[in-house]
Amino acid sequence: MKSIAFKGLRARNTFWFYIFASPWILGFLMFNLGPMIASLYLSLTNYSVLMPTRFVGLYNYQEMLKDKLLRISIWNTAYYAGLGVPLGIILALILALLLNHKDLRGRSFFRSTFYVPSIMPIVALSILWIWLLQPRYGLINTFLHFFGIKGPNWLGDPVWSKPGLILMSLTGVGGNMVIFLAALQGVPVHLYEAAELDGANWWNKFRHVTIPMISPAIFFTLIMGFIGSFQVFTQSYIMTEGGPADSTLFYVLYLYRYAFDYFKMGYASAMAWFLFIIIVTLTFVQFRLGTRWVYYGGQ
Amino acid sequence: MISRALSRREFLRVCAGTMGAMLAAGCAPIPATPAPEEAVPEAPPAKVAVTLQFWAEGFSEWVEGRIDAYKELNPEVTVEFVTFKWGEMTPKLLTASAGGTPPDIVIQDRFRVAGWAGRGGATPLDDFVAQYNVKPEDYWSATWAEAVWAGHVYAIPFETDGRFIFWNKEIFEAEGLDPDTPPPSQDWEAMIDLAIQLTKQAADGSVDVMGFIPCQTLGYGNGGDYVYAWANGAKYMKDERTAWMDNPKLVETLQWEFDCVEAVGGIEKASEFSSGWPTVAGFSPFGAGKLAMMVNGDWNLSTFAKYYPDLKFGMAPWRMRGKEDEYTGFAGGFCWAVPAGAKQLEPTFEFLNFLNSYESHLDAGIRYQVIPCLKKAALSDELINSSPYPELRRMANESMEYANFRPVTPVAEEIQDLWTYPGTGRDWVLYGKKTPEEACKDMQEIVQKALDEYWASVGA
Repeated sequence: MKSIAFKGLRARNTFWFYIFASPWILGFLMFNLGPMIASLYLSLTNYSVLMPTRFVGLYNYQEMLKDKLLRISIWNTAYYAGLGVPLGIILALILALLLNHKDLRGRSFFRSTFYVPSIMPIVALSILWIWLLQPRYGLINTFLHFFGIKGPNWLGDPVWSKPGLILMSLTGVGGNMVIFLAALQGVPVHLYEAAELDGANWWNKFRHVTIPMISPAIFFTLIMGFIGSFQVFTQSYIMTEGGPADSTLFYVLYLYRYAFDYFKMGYASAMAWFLFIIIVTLTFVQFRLGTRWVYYGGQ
Repeated sequence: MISRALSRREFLRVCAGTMGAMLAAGCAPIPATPAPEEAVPEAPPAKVAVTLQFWAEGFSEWVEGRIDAYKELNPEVTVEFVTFKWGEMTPKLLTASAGGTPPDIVIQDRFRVAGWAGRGGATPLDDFVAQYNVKPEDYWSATWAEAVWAGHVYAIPFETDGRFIFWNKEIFEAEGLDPDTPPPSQDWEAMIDLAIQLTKQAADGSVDVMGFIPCQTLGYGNGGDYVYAWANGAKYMKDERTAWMDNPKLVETLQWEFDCVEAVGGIEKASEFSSGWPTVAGFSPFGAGKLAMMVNGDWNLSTFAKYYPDLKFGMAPWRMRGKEDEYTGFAGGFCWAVPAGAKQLEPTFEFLNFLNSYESHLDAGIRYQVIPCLKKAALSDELINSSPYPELRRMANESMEYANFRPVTPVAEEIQDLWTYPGTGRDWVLYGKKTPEEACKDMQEIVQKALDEYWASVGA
């Protein structure tokens, strides 16, 4: 009897799981899975959209190995993700900690202020940042000038173009900030009280209570951040066109050119699958490493 | 209440059923339009209602005006116009073509025609040309040349634009130069010297007035990179199957562009100067007196009249290298094309013929201050006199007679990206990553590979 009840509960849970997940499942099956399977096949062809398609085996993948610009685009994208994601998380966490103080006046105003840029259209944001990063009259360099620092030619110098775009990406930390705020409010107060009784200072409380308790939120933002950053496109498409000197030629921008400018959808499909493998591998590694530092209450 | 847990199999069955039903609903035929009431026997047979799809990037006001005019003459034809931002139509046209639902007619960048036609993405317009007696000689030859691929006409030239050397007369005067004498574009070394002479530093070491930066986008340049190559006698292709990006003439041209940038302070100064000026009307460093010379398009005439009415400037065609009285130019611009798979050719051709009329060309030319591809419209007094600078407009329009055009090849996009666009290719040289020889060699490799793959894909 006990066993039957357990089965019933499990089945019921499973049923409701699928019901709640069904919008995504149906959407994925109807709009994503088909194109994904098709693109896997197309990556083995010379598909140009307009012409008859011919099977070419692994030719596209072999060509990718020889493609010098592809290697540059991978490096650019890894640089952007590797520096931008951790920076974004740290800044979002700092903001969340500051805005979590109960005695901070105008908390809601500041929370909204920091959050709003993250929901602004990326195109509008890109155009705005062209101005902010302008070397002579831009707000960023004007600010640096107050401290006697001559700001760089952000978008016109191959060394500074990626840091410029990373700086811009920090405008979007509001989304992560909200996640961290929610996580911080879920940390039981008694844990801090117990730590204080043990003589812990603010750093110890942060290090040994806050971080472990919000580690699932950090893990989530890390995973999503890397997935998003590896698909960075709009900023370089609008602001730099991949330049100067290929320094912001990101992977998806390069893929887009092959797909829509050069009629090489087969090659672009192969590139897309390679990117998929990179992201899946990175996510898998993060999940494996996550078991060492992510704390789920009750486990 | 009796409840029963749904098994996984049953759940999947439900999902599959739902999906199937949705797909079936999506694929269901669209209900036929109710048949109109039968006409009385005496009345002439009613014309069948037709709806055409027309896509373009820009030109909205003109297109809408033309559609209204056409509707008055042909009430049974409805033209649905979809306009896109610059650069956004091509991906959508590609996907619509893939889905078998392309628009009936598009305004397309003319240099892309060979790329679409060569891949079977455009409908040949030979029948249209024959049916409506369209004569190639009525159009600027450069614009017609871009509309033809493999012996077939795939587009009808619509409007074009030239590239010229502009100079600020006040800056020239202040330097003791004759403001009415065009810069010595035939002498590349003299142009570098002049660029140095006209460049002025600000107190903080940045460039206050830039003499000349020859490259696309940098220094407000547009299209010059092609013009210099043609002025130097360079070609981008040996024949339709062989690229010639490593042509010594192209290497020389790229070297000169690099030398010119170096002479005015190097790419660091050039890009710093350029990044301060957004490429939108009303923000021209040339108009603001901060740029002494530039190579740009004739559309600047109307821009200057609107935003910088007091600007004293000159505009002249670029000379062939080493020749005082031989010029070259660049005919860019757009055309009308019919994507492959467009099904209503007869009404589309009728509408295209209406668009291609003298009045239509003239209307667009006057409205946008561009050069109609139809010579008669381009040279009409009505158009010339509509310009705020009639003499310069006349010179620009007449220069189309000897204007050059981008290589007509299915890999024209690759050539343009590498040769003129900021970001890659030419940037390798400007930013000191490669010598002009190395850059041209690498460009050759990329373009030749694209060509080889194209010809292999068409089985030839």
